[in-house]
Amino acid sequence: MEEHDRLLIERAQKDPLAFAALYEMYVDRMYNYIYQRTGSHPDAEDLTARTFLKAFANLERFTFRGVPFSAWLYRIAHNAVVNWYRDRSRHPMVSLDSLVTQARVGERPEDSAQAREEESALLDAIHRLPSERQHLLVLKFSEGLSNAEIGQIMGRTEGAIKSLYHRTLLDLREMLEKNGMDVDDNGAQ
Amino acid sequence: MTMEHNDVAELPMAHADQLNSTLPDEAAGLTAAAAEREDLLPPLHLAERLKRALTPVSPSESYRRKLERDLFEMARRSARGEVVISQPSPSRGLIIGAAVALMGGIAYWIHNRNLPEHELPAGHEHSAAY
Repeated sequence: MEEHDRLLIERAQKDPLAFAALYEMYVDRMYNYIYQRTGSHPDAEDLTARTFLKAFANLERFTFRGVPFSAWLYRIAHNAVVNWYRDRSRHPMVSLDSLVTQARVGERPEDSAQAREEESALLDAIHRLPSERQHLLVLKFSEGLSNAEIGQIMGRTEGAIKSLYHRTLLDLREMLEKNGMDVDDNGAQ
Repeated sequence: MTMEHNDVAELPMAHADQLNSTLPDEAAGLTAAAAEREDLLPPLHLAERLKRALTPVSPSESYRRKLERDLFEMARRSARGEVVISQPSPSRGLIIGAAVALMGGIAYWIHNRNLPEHELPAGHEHSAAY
């Protein structure tokens, strides 16, 4: 993967038009990452565009120094999200898209409504976590990355990532309990 | 799966990795193993909720194609030398801050210049005094 990236980057550094291949390879991942951080499709569209614009503008400076291209892109996306939070000084709203989920087959409507409400409360709590912790949870659960990959993106050791993850779970649980949510089962209907 | 991951920080992450794997039964095995430790079970249940809540999404095809066209156009113009892609200029706040700092420095310099030598702060004596 890294070797493949290296070839594509070297090509794009010589010919800007070759950037299209990198875009094609990473646009879905960056969009998903940003959407999970902001909870809004319009903002995800805006910040994904900014992320690729910045990557394009800085591609000449990119060199492989132990950090893969994907990690570099995630860092750009993370910084775009941090700036978005700072500039707007607001907490993201949980989007309607995330709340409109299909009722599962055989599920009673009231169960489905409760599940949606709990999911909404959980997403809201995630978005209230410190930025680094949101970053970690999204990379782990939505992007499905390994600890080594997350460590490269966040500039931490795998051990530090594991500790941060555990502390994040404990703090998130405390936040949810304060909001009256029962988190002692897995919420599966 | 037994309690091989008995380190408190190791088990939740091993469980998260299993949730991401294509073999979710292994995550259930870890959860069952964690039942021996009452304090570990709730975080693992929370992780299972997180996994469900953070379901991946994709951009719409129209958005994806539009952004591709925009980037392609920019790349084309960049290749022809019609545009130079550069970092945005410093923000207005930064420029104002720098200007205020510069004016403060000038005011301080003028103030010190007009003081008699014996009232100058330590370290600001004119070199001629030596």
